[in-house]
Amino acid sequence: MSETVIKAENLSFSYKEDDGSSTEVLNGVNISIERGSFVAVLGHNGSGKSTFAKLCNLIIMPTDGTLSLFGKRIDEKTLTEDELFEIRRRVGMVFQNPDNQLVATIVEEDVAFGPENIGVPSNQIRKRVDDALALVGMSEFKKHSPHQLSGGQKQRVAIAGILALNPDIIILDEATAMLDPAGRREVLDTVHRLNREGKTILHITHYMEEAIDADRVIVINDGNVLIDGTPKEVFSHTELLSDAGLDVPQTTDLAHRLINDGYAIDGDLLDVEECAAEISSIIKGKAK
Amino acid sequence: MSSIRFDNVSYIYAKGTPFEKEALDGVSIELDEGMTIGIIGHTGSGKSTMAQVMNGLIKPDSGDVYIHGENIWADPKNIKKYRFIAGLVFQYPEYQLFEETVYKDIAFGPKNMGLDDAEIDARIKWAAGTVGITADLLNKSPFDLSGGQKRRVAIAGIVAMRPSIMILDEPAAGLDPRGRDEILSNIIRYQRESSSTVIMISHSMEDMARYCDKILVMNHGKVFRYGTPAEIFSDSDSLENIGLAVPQITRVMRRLKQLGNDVNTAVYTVDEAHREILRLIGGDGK
Repeated sequence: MSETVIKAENLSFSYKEDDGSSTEVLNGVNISIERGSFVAVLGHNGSGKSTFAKLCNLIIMPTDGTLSLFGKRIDEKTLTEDELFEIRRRVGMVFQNPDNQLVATIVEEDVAFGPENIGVPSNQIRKRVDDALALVGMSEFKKHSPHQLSGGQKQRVAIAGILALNPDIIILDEATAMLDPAGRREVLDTVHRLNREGKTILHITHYMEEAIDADRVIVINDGNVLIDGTPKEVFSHTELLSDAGLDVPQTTDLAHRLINDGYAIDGDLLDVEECAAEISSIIKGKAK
Repeated sequence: MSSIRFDNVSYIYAKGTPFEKEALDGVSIELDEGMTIGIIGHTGSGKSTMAQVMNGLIKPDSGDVYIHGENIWADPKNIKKYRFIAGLVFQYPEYQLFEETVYKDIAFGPKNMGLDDAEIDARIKWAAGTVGITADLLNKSPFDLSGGQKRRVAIAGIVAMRPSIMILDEPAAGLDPRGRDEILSNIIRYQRESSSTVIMISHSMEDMARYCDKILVMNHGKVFRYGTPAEIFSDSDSLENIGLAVPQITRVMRRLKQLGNDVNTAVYTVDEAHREILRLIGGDGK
Protein backbone atom coordinates (compact mmCIF):
# COMPACT_ATOMS: atom_id res chain seq x y z
CA MET A 1 0.00 0.00 0.00
CA SER A 2 1.60 3.23 -1.03
CA GLU A 3 1.62 6.31 1.08
CA THR A 4 -0.79 9.17 0.44
CA VAL A 5 1.35 12.32 0.30
CA ILE A 6 -1.41 14.84 -0.46
CA LYS A 7 -4.95 14.40 0.77
CA ALA A 8 -7.56 17.08 0.20
CA GLU A 9 -10.96 16.53 1.77
CA ASN A 10 -13.71 18.97 0.96
CA LEU A 11 -10.95 21.51 0.45
CA SER A 12 -12.02 25.07 -0.34
CA PHE A 13 -10.29 28.33 -0.95
CA SER A 14 -11.85 31.74 -1.32
CA TYR A 15 -10.50 35.24 -1.20
CA LYS A 16 -12.01 38.52 -0.09
CA GLU A 17 -12.93 41.14 -2.68
CA ASP A 18 -12.49 44.87 -1.99
CA ASP A 19 -16.21 45.22 -1.29
CA GLY A 20 -16.08 42.56 1.45
CA SER A 21 -17.72 39.79 -0.58
CA SER A 22 -15.76 36.60 -1.09
CA THR A 23 -14.97 34.75 -4.32
CA GLU A 24 -14.66 30.99 -4.19
CA VAL A 25 -11.81 29.54 -6.25
CA LEU A 26 -11.89 25.95 -4.97
CA ASN A 27 -15.15 24.50 -3.77
CA GLY A 28 -14.98 21.27 -1.78
CA VAL A 29 -12.24 19.40 -3.63
CA ASN A 30 -11.42 15.77 -2.81
CA ILE A 31 -8.09 14.56 -4.15
CA SER A 32 -5.60 11.98 -2.84
CA ILE A 33 -2.17 11.71 -4.38
CA GLU A 34 0.05 8.68 -3.81
CA ARG A 35 3.79 8.80 -3.37
CA GLY A 36 5.68 8.17 -6.60
CA SER A 37 2.80 8.97 -8.95
CA PHE A 38 2.92 11.27 -11.97
CA VAL A 39 -0.26 13.33 -12.02
CA ALA A 40 -1.18 15.77 -14.79
CA VAL A 41 -3.60 18.52 -13.81
CA LEU A 42 -5.65 20.16 -16.56
CA GLY A 43 -8.16 22.99 -16.46
CA HIS A 44 -8.88 26.28 -18.20
CA ASN A 45 -7.43 29.57 -16.94
CA GLY A 46 -9.18 30.44 -13.69
CA SER A 47 -10.40 26.87 -13.06
CA GLY A 48 -8.58 26.70 -9.72
CA LYS A 49 -5.77 24.33 -10.69
CA SER A 50 -2.93 26.69 -9.72
CA THR A 51 -4.73 27.49 -6.46
CA PHE A 52 -4.72 23.77 -5.66
CA ALA A 53 -0.97 23.69 -6.36
CA LYS A 54 -0.33 26.69 -4.11
CA LEU A 55 -2.28 25.04 -1.30
CA CYS A 56 -0.09 21.94 -1.60
CA ASN A 57 2.99 23.82 -0.49
CA LEU A 58 1.13 26.27 1.71
CA ILE A 59 1.84 29.43 -0.25
CA ILE A 60 -1.82 29.96 0.61
CA MET A 61 -3.88 28.37 3.39
CA PRO A 62 -7.23 26.57 2.98
CA THR A 63 -10.31 28.54 3.96
CA ASP A 64 -12.40 25.40 4.53
CA GLY A 65 -12.11 21.62 4.51
CA THR A 66 -9.01 19.68 5.42
CA LEU A 67 -5.63 19.27 3.81
CA SER A 68 -3.16 16.62 4.93
CA LEU A 69 0.42 16.57 3.70
CA PHE A 70 2.57 13.48 4.30
CA GLY A 71 -0.08 12.11 6.63
CA LYS A 72 -0.27 15.18 8.81
CA ARG A 73 -3.34 17.37 8.88
CA ILE A 74 -2.49 21.05 8.33
CA ASP A 75 -3.88 23.37 10.96
CA GLU A 76 -3.01 26.99 10.40
CA LYS A 77 -3.39 27.82 14.09
CA THR A 78 -0.87 25.32 15.37
CA LEU A 79 1.50 25.17 12.39
CA THR A 80 4.95 26.32 13.45
CA GLU A 81 7.32 28.20 11.20
CA ASP A 82 9.67 25.20 11.20
CA GLU A 83 6.89 22.92 10.01
CA LEU A 84 5.93 25.38 7.30
CA PHE A 85 9.51 25.57 6.03
CA GLU A 86 9.80 21.78 6.11
CA ILE A 87 6.67 21.43 3.95
CA ARG A 88 7.93 24.00 1.45
CA ARG A 89 11.21 22.08 1.28
CA ARG A 90 9.41 18.79 0.68
CA VAL A 91 7.00 20.22 -1.92
CA GLY A 92 8.99 22.16 -4.52
CA MET A 93 7.37 24.31 -7.15
CA VAL A 94 8.49 25.37 -10.64
CA PHE A 95 6.64 28.31 -12.15
CA GLN A 96 5.75 29.38 -15.67
CA ASN A 97 8.25 32.07 -16.53
CA PRO A 98 11.84 30.80 -16.80
CA ASP A 99 13.16 34.36 -16.42
CA ASN A 100 11.53 35.01 -13.05
CA GLN A 101 12.89 32.11 -11.04
CA LEU A 102 16.66 32.23 -11.21
CA VAL A 103 18.18 34.66 -8.72
CA ALA A 104 21.96 34.24 -8.95
CA THR A 105 24.33 35.24 -11.72
CA ILE A 106 25.95 31.80 -12.02
CA VAL A 107 24.01 28.56 -12.50
CA GLU A 108 25.62 26.64 -9.62
CA GLU A 109 25.14 29.55 -7.23
CA ASP A 110 21.48 29.61 -8.13
CA VAL A 111 21.13 25.91 -7.33
CA ALA A 112 22.98 26.48 -4.01
CA PHE A 113 20.57 29.24 -2.98
CA GLY A 114 17.99 26.88 -1.44
CA PRO A 115 20.37 24.64 0.53
CA GLU A 116 22.24 27.71 1.83
CA ASN A 117 18.96 29.20 3.02
CA ILE A 118 17.94 26.15 5.01
CA GLY A 119 21.36 25.95 6.63
CA VAL A 120 22.87 22.93 4.91
CA PRO A 121 26.54 22.75 6.02
CA SER A 122 28.76 24.22 3.31
CA ASN A 123 30.79 21.01 2.86
CA GLN A 124 27.57 19.23 1.83
CA ILE A 125 26.29 21.99 -0.46
CA ARG A 126 28.90 21.25 -3.13
CA LYS A 127 27.73 17.67 -3.45
CA ARG A 128 24.05 18.57 -3.41
CA VAL A 129 24.52 21.14 -6.17
CA ASP A 130 26.58 18.79 -8.33
CA ASP A 131 24.12 15.93 -7.86
CA ALA A 132 21.12 18.14 -8.63
CA LEU A 133 22.71 19.56 -11.80
CA ALA A 134 23.65 16.05 -12.93
CA LEU A 135 20.07 14.84 -12.42
CA VAL A 136 18.69 17.50 -14.77
CA GLY A 137 21.56 17.09 -17.24
CA MET A 138 22.97 20.59 -16.72
CA SER A 139 26.38 19.84 -15.16
CA GLU A 140 28.32 21.27 -18.08
CA PHE A 141 26.54 24.62 -17.65
CA LYS A 142 27.32 25.07 -13.96
CA LYS A 143 29.64 28.03 -14.52
CA HIS A 144 27.32 29.69 -17.05
CA SER A 145 25.19 32.73 -16.44
CA PRO A 146 21.45 31.91 -16.50
CA HIS A 147 20.79 34.51 -19.21
CA GLN A 148 22.94 32.52 -21.64
CA LEU A 149 20.61 29.52 -21.34
CA SER A 150 17.55 28.57 -23.40
CA GLY A 151 14.10 28.49 -21.76
CA GLY A 152 14.20 24.72 -21.34
CA GLN A 153 17.65 24.88 -19.78
CA LYS A 154 16.55 27.62 -17.36
CA GLN A 155 13.59 25.53 -16.25
CA ARG A 156 15.90 22.54 -15.70
CA VAL A 157 18.14 24.75 -13.53
CA ALA A 158 15.02 25.82 -11.58
CA ILE A 159 14.21 22.12 -11.09
CA ALA A 160 17.80 21.50 -9.94
CA GLY A 161 17.38 24.28 -7.37
CA ILE A 162 14.43 22.37 -5.96
CA LEU A 163 16.20 19.00 -6.12
CA ALA A 164 19.04 20.41 -4.04
CA LEU A 165 16.52 20.64 -1.20
CA ASN A 166 15.74 16.94 -1.61
CA PRO A 167 11.96 17.28 -1.97
CA ASP A 168 9.36 14.50 -2.08
CA ILE A 169 7.03 16.26 -4.50
CA ILE A 170 7.74 18.54 -7.46
CA ILE A 171 4.91 20.67 -8.77
CA LEU A 172 5.26 22.21 -12.22
CA ASP A 173 2.78 25.08 -12.52
CA GLU A 174 2.58 25.49 -16.32
CA ALA A 175 6.36 25.26 -16.36
CA THR A 176 6.36 24.32 -20.05
CA ALA A 177 3.97 27.06 -21.23
CA MET A 178 6.66 29.44 -22.45
CA LEU A 179 9.00 26.88 -24.00
CA ASP A 180 9.54 25.77 -27.58
CA PRO A 181 8.89 22.10 -28.51
CA ALA A 182 12.50 21.05 -27.83
CA GLY A 183 12.51 22.86 -24.47
CA ARG A 184 9.22 21.24 -23.49
CA ARG A 185 10.63 17.85 -24.40
CA GLU A 186 13.76 18.47 -22.26
CA VAL A 187 11.74 19.44 -19.21
CA LEU A 188 9.26 16.57 -19.59
CA ASP A 189 12.01 14.00 -20.09
CA THR A 190 13.70 15.35 -16.96
CA VAL A 191 10.62 15.14 -14.74
CA HIS A 192 9.69 11.69 -16.05
CA ARG A 193 13.18 10.51 -15.14
CA LEU A 194 12.90 12.04 -11.66
CA ASN A 195 9.52 10.33 -11.30
CA ARG A 196 11.08 6.96 -12.10
CA GLU A 197 13.60 7.67 -9.35
CA GLY A 198 10.78 8.09 -6.87
CA LYS A 199 9.72 11.75 -6.94
CA THR A 200 6.02 12.48 -6.95
CA ILE A 201 5.18 14.85 -9.82
CA LEU A 202 2.21 17.18 -10.25
CA HIS A 203 2.32 18.61 -13.74
CA ILE A 204 -0.12 21.45 -14.45
CA THR A 205 -0.34 22.12 -18.18
CA HIS A 206 -2.44 23.38 -21.08
CA TYR A 207 -0.83 20.96 -23.51
CA MET A 208 -3.08 17.92 -23.65
CA GLU A 209 -0.41 15.74 -25.22
CA GLU A 210 1.83 16.29 -22.17
CA ALA A 211 -0.78 14.50 -20.06
CA ILE A 212 -0.71 11.33 -22.19
CA ASP A 213 2.25 9.79 -20.36
CA ALA A 214 0.99 10.59 -16.84
CA ASP A 215 -0.23 7.83 -14.50
CA ARG A 216 -3.28 9.88 -13.81
CA VAL A 217 -5.03 13.00 -15.10
CA ILE A 218 -7.15 15.29 -12.95
CA VAL A 219 -9.33 17.84 -14.72
CA ILE A 220 -10.35 20.79 -12.59
CA ASN A 221 -13.26 22.95 -13.68
CA ASP A 222 -14.95 25.84 -11.86
CA GLY A 223 -13.22 25.03 -8.58
CA ASN A 224 -13.91 21.34 -8.47
CA VAL A 225 -12.72 18.01 -9.88
CA LEU A 226 -14.50 17.36 -13.17
CA ILE A 227 -12.80 14.10 -14.18
CA ASP A 228 -10.12 12.03 -12.46
CA GLY A 229 -8.68 8.90 -14.02
CA THR A 230 -6.06 7.42 -16.31
CA PRO A 231 -5.24 9.45 -19.45
CA LYS A 232 -7.30 7.00 -21.52
CA GLU A 233 -10.34 7.36 -19.29
CA VAL A 234 -10.09 11.14 -19.13
CA PHE A 235 -9.57 11.79 -22.84
CA SER A 236 -12.48 9.53 -23.78
CA HIS A 237 -14.74 12.28 -22.36
CA THR A 238 -14.27 14.51 -25.39
CA GLU A 239 -17.49 16.49 -24.93
CA LEU A 240 -17.02 17.04 -21.22
CA LEU A 241 -13.51 18.32 -21.89
CA SER A 242 -14.68 20.60 -24.66
CA ASP A 243 -17.38 22.06 -22.36
CA ALA A 244 -14.64 22.74 -19.83
CA GLY A 245 -12.73 24.78 -22.43
CA LEU A 246 -10.15 22.05 -23.03
CA ASP A 247 -9.48 19.82 -25.99
CA VAL A 248 -8.17 16.30 -26.56
CA PRO A 249 -4.97 15.20 -28.30
CA GLN A 250 -5.30 15.12 -32.11
CA THR A 251 -5.05 11.31 -32.07
CA THR A 252 -8.10 11.01 -29.79
CA ASP A 253 -9.99 13.58 -31.87
CA LEU A 254 -9.36 11.55 -35.03
CA ALA A 255 -10.38 8.26 -33.37
CA HIS A 256 -13.66 9.79 -32.19
CA ARG A 257 -14.48 11.11 -35.64
CA LEU A 258 -13.96 7.63 -37.08
CA ILE A 259 -16.19 6.14 -34.36
CA ASN A 260 -18.88 8.66 -35.29
CA ASP A 261 -18.55 7.48 -38.90
CA GLY A 262 -19.42 4.00 -37.64
CA TYR A 263 -16.00 2.38 -37.64
CA ALA A 264 -15.16 -0.02 -34.83
CA ILE A 265 -12.11 1.67 -33.46
CA ASP A 266 -10.73 1.96 -29.97
CA GLY A 267 -11.85 5.38 -28.68
CA ASP A 268 -9.08 5.88 -26.17
CA LEU A 269 -6.13 5.93 -28.51
CA LEU A 270 -3.56 8.38 -27.29
CA ASP A 271 -0.12 7.91 -28.69
CA VAL A 272 0.83 8.10 -32.32
CA GLU A 273 1.93 4.47 -32.46
CA GLU A 274 -1.34 3.00 -31.13
CA CYS A 275 -3.48 5.28 -33.22
CA ALA A 276 -1.64 4.46 -36.46
CA ALA A 277 -1.70 0.70 -35.75
CA GLU A 278 -5.45 0.69 -35.13
CA ILE A 279 -6.29 2.77 -38.21
CA SER A 280 -3.94 0.70 -40.32
CA SER A 281 -5.77 -2.50 -39.40
CA ILE A 282 -9.08 -0.88 -40.39
CA ILE A 283 -7.70 0.32 -43.73
CA LYS A 284 -6.24 -3.10 -44.49
CA GLY A 285 -9.38 -4.92 -43.31
CA LYS A 286 -11.51 -2.82 -45.69
CA ALA A 287 -9.17 -3.25 -48.61
CA LYS A 288 -9.56 -7.05 -48.58
CA MET B 1 3.82 42.78 -54.11
CA SER B 2 5.43 41.83 -50.83
CA SER B 3 4.33 43.01 -47.38
CA ILE B 4 7.82 42.98 -45.91
CA ARG B 5 11.10 42.32 -47.66
CA PHE B 6 14.48 41.70 -46.03
CA ASP B 7 17.56 42.18 -48.16
CA ASN B 8 20.65 40.60 -46.59
CA VAL B 9 19.67 41.73 -43.06
CA SER B 10 22.02 41.03 -40.15
CA TYR B 11 21.73 41.97 -36.50
CA ILE B 12 24.18 41.23 -33.73
CA TYR B 13 23.35 41.43 -30.00
CA ALA B 14 25.92 42.68 -27.49
CA LYS B 15 28.37 43.48 -30.26
CA GLY B 16 31.97 43.72 -29.06
CA THR B 17 31.34 41.77 -25.82
CA PRO B 18 32.04 38.10 -25.04
CA PHE B 19 28.28 37.51 -25.34
CA GLU B 20 28.14 38.69 -28.93
CA LYS B 21 25.46 36.77 -30.77
CA GLU B 22 24.39 37.01 -34.36
CA ALA B 23 20.60 37.00 -34.05
CA LEU B 24 19.99 37.54 -37.78
CA ASP B 25 22.60 36.42 -40.24
CA GLY B 26 22.21 37.74 -43.79
CA VAL B 27 18.46 37.19 -44.02
CA SER B 28 16.86 37.78 -47.42
CA ILE B 29 13.16 37.01 -47.68
CA GLU B 30 10.09 38.41 -49.36
CA LEU B 31 6.89 37.84 -47.34
CA ASP B 32 3.54 37.71 -49.14
CA GLU B 33 0.86 40.32 -48.73
CA GLY B 34 -2.76 39.87 -47.59
CA MET B 35 -2.39 36.55 -45.85
CA THR B 36 -1.54 35.00 -42.50
CA ILE B 37 2.10 34.05 -42.18
CA GLY B 38 3.50 32.03 -39.29
CA ILE B 39 7.08 32.17 -38.06
CA ILE B 40 8.47 29.10 -36.29
CA GLY B 41 11.91 28.26 -34.95
CA HIS B 42 13.47 27.09 -31.70
CA THR B 43 14.32 29.54 -28.92
CA GLY B 44 17.18 31.74 -30.06
CA SER B 45 16.55 31.13 -33.78
CA GLY B 46 16.00 34.84 -34.41
CA LYS B 47 12.19 34.95 -34.59
CA SER B 48 11.58 37.69 -32.05
CA THR B 49 14.48 39.78 -33.32
CA MET B 50 13.05 39.44 -36.80
CA ALA B 51 9.65 40.72 -35.59
CA GLN B 52 11.31 43.79 -34.06
CA VAL B 53 13.40 44.49 -37.14
CA MET B 54 10.29 44.20 -39.31
CA ASN B 55 8.60 47.28 -37.91
CA GLY B 56 11.72 49.32 -37.34
CA LEU B 57 11.97 48.85 -33.58
CA ILE B 58 15.48 47.50 -34.09
CA LYS B 59 17.76 48.90 -36.78
CA PRO B 60 19.72 46.13 -38.48
CA ASP B 61 23.53 46.28 -38.43
CA SER B 62 23.52 45.72 -42.16
CA GLY B 63 21.07 45.08 -44.97
CA ASP B 64 17.77 46.75 -45.87
CA VAL B 65 14.19 46.32 -44.70
CA TYR B 66 11.31 47.23 -47.02
CA ILE B 67 7.65 47.66 -46.09
CA HIS B 68 5.36 47.72 -49.13
CA GLY B 69 8.43 48.35 -51.25
CA GLU B 70 9.76 51.33 -49.26
CA ASN B 71 13.14 51.15 -47.55
CA ILE B 72 12.14 51.99 -43.97
CA TRP B 73 15.57 53.27 -42.93
CA ALA B 74 16.06 55.44 -46.04
CA ASP B 75 15.43 58.43 -43.76
CA PRO B 76 15.57 57.43 -40.07
CA LYS B 77 13.46 60.48 -39.16
CA ASN B 78 10.48 58.81 -40.84
CA ILE B 79 10.75 55.51 -38.98
CA LYS B 80 7.73 56.24 -36.78
CA LYS B 81 5.48 56.16 -39.84
CA TYR B 82 6.38 52.52 -40.49
CA ARG B 83 5.57 51.54 -36.91
CA PHE B 84 1.98 52.60 -37.59
CA ILE B 85 1.89 50.67 -40.86
CA ALA B 86 3.36 47.54 -39.26
CA GLY B 87 1.91 47.18 -35.74
CA LEU B 88 3.79 44.94 -33.32
CA VAL B 89 2.16 43.01 -30.47
CA PHE B 90 4.82 41.80 -28.03
CA GLN B 91 4.91 38.54 -26.11
CA TYR B 92 2.67 38.69 -23.04
CA PRO B 93 1.40 42.15 -24.07
CA GLU B 94 -1.03 42.25 -21.14
CA TYR B 95 1.90 43.24 -18.90
CA GLN B 96 2.05 46.51 -20.80
CA LEU B 97 -1.47 47.70 -20.06
CA PHE B 98 -1.22 50.82 -17.96
CA GLU B 99 -4.27 53.07 -18.30
CA GLU B 100 -7.16 53.56 -15.88
CA THR B 101 -9.74 52.09 -18.22
CA VAL B 102 -9.82 49.62 -21.09
CA TYR B 103 -11.12 52.44 -23.30
CA LYS B 104 -8.14 54.70 -22.57
CA ASP B 105 -5.69 51.86 -23.04
CA ILE B 106 -6.97 51.03 -26.51
CA ALA B 107 -7.01 54.78 -27.30
CA PHE B 108 -3.28 55.17 -26.70
CA GLY B 109 -2.12 54.10 -30.17
CA PRO B 110 -4.73 55.99 -32.22
CA LYS B 111 -4.06 59.13 -30.12
CA ASN B 112 -0.38 58.93 -30.93
CA MET B 113 -1.33 58.82 -34.59
CA GLY B 114 -2.88 62.27 -34.13
CA LEU B 115 -6.43 61.23 -35.04
CA ASP B 116 -9.42 63.34 -33.97
CA ASP B 117 -11.60 62.29 -31.03
CA ALA B 118 -14.56 61.05 -33.08
CA GLU B 119 -12.29 58.86 -35.20
CA ILE B 120 -10.51 57.56 -32.10
CA ASP B 121 -13.84 56.70 -30.47
CA ALA B 122 -15.04 54.84 -33.56
CA ARG B 123 -11.81 52.90 -33.82
CA ILE B 124 -11.82 51.88 -30.15
CA LYS B 125 -15.33 50.46 -30.43
CA TRP B 126 -14.52 48.67 -33.67
CA ALA B 127 -11.21 47.25 -32.37
CA ALA B 128 -12.81 46.07 -29.11
CA GLY B 129 -15.55 44.31 -31.09
CA THR B 130 -12.99 42.73 -33.41
CA VAL B 131 -11.12 41.06 -30.54
CA GLY B 132 -14.27 40.13 -28.61
CA ILE B 133 -14.18 42.76 -25.86
CA THR B 134 -17.79 43.69 -25.04
CA ALA B 135 -18.88 47.33 -24.55
CA ASP B 136 -19.51 46.87 -20.81
CA LEU B 137 -15.81 46.19 -20.25
CA LEU B 138 -14.62 49.43 -21.84
CA ASN B 139 -14.97 51.51 -18.68
CA LYS B 140 -13.46 48.89 -16.39
CA SER B 141 -9.89 48.96 -15.19
CA PRO B 142 -7.84 46.61 -17.36
CA PHE B 143 -6.42 45.15 -14.15
CA ASP B 144 -9.84 43.78 -13.17
CA LEU B 145 -10.01 41.59 -16.27
CA SER B 146 -9.00 37.95 -16.67
CA GLY B 147 -5.69 37.08 -18.33
CA GLY B 148 -7.34 36.22 -21.64
CA GLN B 149 -9.36 39.46 -21.65
CA LYS B 150 -6.26 41.54 -20.87
CA ARG B 151 -4.46 39.91 -23.77
CA ARG B 152 -7.34 40.87 -26.08
CA VAL B 153 -7.33 44.47 -24.85
CA ALA B 154 -3.62 44.69 -25.60
CA ILE B 155 -4.19 43.34 -29.11
CA ALA B 156 -7.12 45.76 -29.61
CA GLY B 157 -4.69 48.62 -28.90
CA ILE B 158 -2.76 47.64 -32.02
CA VAL B 159 -5.84 46.71 -34.10
CA ALA B 160 -7.22 50.23 -33.42
CA MET B 161 -4.27 51.67 -35.34
CA ARG B 162 -5.49 49.68 -38.37
CA PRO B 163 -2.03 48.56 -39.37
CA SER B 164 -1.89 47.03 -42.83
CA ILE B 165 0.63 44.57 -41.37
CA MET B 166 0.13 43.18 -37.87
CA ILE B 167 3.01 41.31 -36.27
CA LEU B 168 2.28 39.22 -33.16
CA ASP B 169 4.92 37.51 -31.01
CA GLU B 170 3.28 34.39 -29.57
CA PRO B 171 -0.23 35.79 -29.23
CA ALA B 172 -1.63 32.60 -27.69
CA ALA B 173 1.20 31.73 -25.27
CA GLY B 174 -0.01 30.65 -21.86
CA LEU B 175 -3.70 30.59 -22.76
CA ASP B 176 -5.92 27.56 -22.29
CA PRO B 177 -7.24 25.80 -25.43
CA ARG B 178 -10.46 27.80 -25.63
CA GLY B 179 -8.75 31.13 -25.01
CA ARG B 180 -6.17 30.26 -27.65
CA ASP B 181 -8.80 29.38 -30.26
CA GLU B 182 -10.74 32.58 -29.54
CA ILE B 183 -7.74 34.87 -29.87
CA LEU B 184 -6.40 33.19 -32.98
CA SER B 185 -9.81 33.16 -34.69
CA ASN B 186 -10.23 36.86 -33.91
CA ILE B 187 -6.85 37.62 -35.41
CA ILE B 188 -7.67 35.62 -38.54
CA ARG B 189 -11.03 37.39 -38.84
CA TYR B 190 -9.29 40.75 -38.60
CA GLN B 191 -6.87 39.67 -41.30
CA ARG B 192 -9.67 38.60 -43.67
CA GLU B 193 -11.99 41.54 -43.07
CA SER B 194 -9.24 44.11 -43.48
CA SER B 195 -7.30 42.24 -46.19
CA SER B 196 -4.22 43.03 -44.15
CA THR B 197 -1.15 40.89 -43.58
CA VAL B 198 -0.80 39.06 -40.28
CA ILE B 199 2.58 37.71 -39.25
CA MET B 200 2.64 35.64 -36.09
CA ILE B 201 5.26 33.78 -34.14
CA SER B 202 4.23 30.55 -32.43
CA HIS B 203 5.64 27.40 -30.86
CA SER B 204 2.50 25.42 -31.60
CA MET B 205 2.87 23.52 -34.85
CA GLU B 206 -0.80 22.50 -34.60
CA ASP B 207 -1.90 26.16 -34.49
CA MET B 208 0.42 27.13 -37.33
CA ALA B 209 -0.93 24.31 -39.49
CA ARG B 210 -4.49 25.31 -38.77
CA TYR B 211 -4.35 29.07 -39.10
CA CYS B 212 -1.52 30.08 -41.43
CA ASP B 213 -1.40 30.37 -45.24
CA LYS B 214 2.39 30.37 -45.28
CA ILE B 215 5.06 29.47 -42.74
CA LEU B 216 8.57 30.87 -42.36
CA VAL B 217 11.00 28.58 -40.56
CA MET B 218 13.99 30.24 -38.87
CA ASN B 219 17.13 28.45 -37.69
CA HIS B 220 20.28 30.00 -36.18
CA GLY B 221 19.47 33.46 -37.50
CA LYS B 222 18.86 32.29 -41.06
CA VAL B 223 15.80 31.47 -43.13
CA PHE B 224 15.47 27.69 -43.17
CA ARG B 225 12.27 27.40 -45.27
CA TYR B 226 9.35 29.50 -46.46
CA GLY B 227 6.27 27.82 -47.86
CA THR B 228 2.74 26.57 -47.36
CA PRO B 229 2.05 24.39 -44.28
CA ALA B 230 1.91 21.37 -46.61
CA GLU B 231 5.35 22.16 -48.01
CA ILE B 232 6.85 22.83 -44.59
CA PHE B 233 5.44 19.85 -42.73
CA SER B 234 6.09 17.37 -45.54
CA ASP B 235 9.76 17.41 -44.58
CA SER B 236 9.46 16.35 -40.96
CA ASP B 237 12.98 14.97 -40.68
CA SER B 238 14.56 18.34 -41.39
CA LEU B 239 12.23 20.07 -38.96
CA GLU B 240 13.06 17.62 -36.20
CA ASN B 241 16.77 18.12 -36.88
CA ILE B 242 16.43 21.79 -36.03
CA GLY B 243 14.50 21.21 -32.78
CA LEU B 244 10.99 21.60 -34.17
CA ALA B 245 8.23 19.09 -34.60
CA VAL B 246 5.41 18.37 -37.00
CA PRO B 247 1.82 18.27 -35.70
CA GLN B 248 0.91 15.06 -33.87
CA ILE B 249 -1.61 14.18 -36.59
CA THR B 250 1.12 14.37 -39.25
CA ARG B 251 3.16 11.88 -37.25
CA VAL B 252 0.18 9.50 -37.28
CA MET B 253 0.00 9.75 -41.09
CA ARG B 254 3.73 9.12 -41.45
CA ARG B 255 3.45 6.06 -39.25
CA LEU B 256 0.51 4.81 -41.35
CA LYS B 257 2.69 5.10 -44.42
CA GLN B 258 5.49 3.14 -42.72
CA LEU B 259 2.95 0.45 -41.91
CA GLY B 260 2.43 0.01 -45.64
CA ASN B 261 -0.64 2.17 -46.26
CA ASP B 262 -0.75 4.35 -49.36
CA VAL B 263 -1.58 7.58 -47.47
CA ASN B 264 -0.79 11.14 -48.32
CA THR B 265 1.50 12.23 -45.49
CA ALA B 266 1.17 15.93 -46.33
CA VAL B 267 -1.69 16.15 -43.86
CA TYR B 268 -1.45 18.56 -40.99
CA THR B 269 -4.92 19.04 -39.51
CA VAL B 270 -7.37 16.54 -38.03
CA ASP B 271 -9.93 17.51 -40.70
CA GLU B 272 -7.57 16.55 -43.49
CA ALA B 273 -6.46 13.34 -41.78
CA HIS B 274 -10.07 12.33 -41.33
CA ARG B 275 -10.85 12.91 -45.03
CA GLU B 276 -7.71 11.11 -46.15
CA ILE B 277 -8.45 8.03 -44.04
CA LEU B 278 -12.06 7.89 -45.25
CA ARG B 279 -10.77 8.08 -48.81
CA LEU B 280 -8.50 5.08 -48.17
CA ILE B 281 -11.18 3.04 -46.46
CA GLY B 282 -13.49 3.91 -49.33
CA GLY B 283 -15.91 5.91 -47.23
CA ASP B 284 -17.67 8.90 -48.78
CA GLY B 285 -15.72 11.45 -46.74
CA LYS B 286 -18.81 13.65 -46.92
